[in-house]
Amino acid sequence: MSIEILIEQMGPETKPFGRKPEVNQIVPDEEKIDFSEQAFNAIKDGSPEPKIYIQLDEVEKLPKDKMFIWLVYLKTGDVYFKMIPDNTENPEGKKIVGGRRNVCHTNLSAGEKALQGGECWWCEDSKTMYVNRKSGRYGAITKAQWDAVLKFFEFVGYEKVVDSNFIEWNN
Amino acid sequence: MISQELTKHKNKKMATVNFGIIDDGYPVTGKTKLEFDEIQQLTSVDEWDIETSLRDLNMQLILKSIHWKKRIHLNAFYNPEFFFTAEKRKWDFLAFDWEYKMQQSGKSSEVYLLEILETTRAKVFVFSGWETEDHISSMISDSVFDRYKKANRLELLRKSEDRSVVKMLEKVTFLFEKGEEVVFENVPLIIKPSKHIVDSEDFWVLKSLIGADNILSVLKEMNSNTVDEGTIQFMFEKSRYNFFIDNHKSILSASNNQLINEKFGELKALSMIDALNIFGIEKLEETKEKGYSKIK
Repeated sequence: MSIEILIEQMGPETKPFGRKPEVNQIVPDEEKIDFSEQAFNAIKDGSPEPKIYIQLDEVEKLPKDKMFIWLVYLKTGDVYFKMIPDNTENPEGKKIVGGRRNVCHTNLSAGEKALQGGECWWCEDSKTMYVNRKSGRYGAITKAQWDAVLKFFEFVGYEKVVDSNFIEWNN
Repeated sequence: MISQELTKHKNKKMATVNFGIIDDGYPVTGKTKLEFDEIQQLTSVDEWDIETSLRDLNMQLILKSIHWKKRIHLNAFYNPEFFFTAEKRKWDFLAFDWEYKMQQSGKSSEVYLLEILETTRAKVFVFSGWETEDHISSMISDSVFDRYKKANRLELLRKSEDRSVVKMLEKVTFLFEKGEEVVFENVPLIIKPSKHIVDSEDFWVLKSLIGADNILSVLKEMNSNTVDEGTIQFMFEKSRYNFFIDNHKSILSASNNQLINEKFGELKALSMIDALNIFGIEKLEETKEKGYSKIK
């Protein structure tokens, strides 16, 4: 399958919370500060950096402190696929009253439109990516979109991808 | 432009209360200072002997602190020497026992008490056994303590009186519940601790769910500058947003969409105020940020 078809299936691009019209959609300035340069470029496969990986005995729990957030977006015609640890601090958010202290998905898109987003965990021992669509801002809402997300992870080179959307329902 | 706007509110004050206890009545040996978690563990052991009031004070402070997300910081020191050698902190309250089994410095409790009053800005409760009360009363009647008594910074409380612990807790509660003064979007506000948010540390959750403009417009409508339980409830009552829930009450969702419907069936809308009262503000923020969350 071509990247063009996957992009089409993952889309259309959405503004933050554009797929969740029933919630507050205003993104504060500190959540639009661009952290994408600090994020891991996952477009060419590879073990995410920094090396915050789950062990084999953690795959049923997927601990929050080893979680990355991921985002696929388009910019000037190119596809970007970024991952950053969920617990990355947002210094500007910490400075102000009402500021979110850690980065969120719009800190990867600079508050602009994106195709898809969610959370993921990497197990280095089994070379497996555990992925979900948990992004209120950009997450999939149709089966076609979610299927395309899983195919996209495989397309860029992650050979073993596990859908972990409802992992907490098993615990 | 962004950074200029964001740095306007650097001088915020946190709503925390620091309570220190200087007492050798803790059922522990070889410790100079006790942290919150250590004190919490000790409150569940039975070896407090005659120090039941001290245990009760610790227990009540820990319960109150947990209720307020540990914003009441509690430390204990085995004697005044250890208090002075420990890392300095801006103490709001200190409970000071008068008698110690072992003190190497040779200084009297009276001297230590004066040093504490001089070097901190804390309200000091001399919290001691009844048998020493006359002695303590006579000691602190010395004129060197007059200005501290006049400033309401020195109070003698008997360990044997039930009201003593209650009095200390009332003072802590009064200070904590005065709330925190902040500037939010250039508007001065007071955040009072509530079951929804404790202080400015939590305020981002409210901003995320309600939106900054909506928070300020509701406060304006209520002619209030205070974010407390009542105004937060009203913000949620006024909100036009929704959450969604399935018939089995398994999932709370920020949207009614195909992927959730396939797994959990039809969802029904839940108003913001109902969702707040059923699930609490943190669950709602998690749901909004992640798109959905597990209920049970």
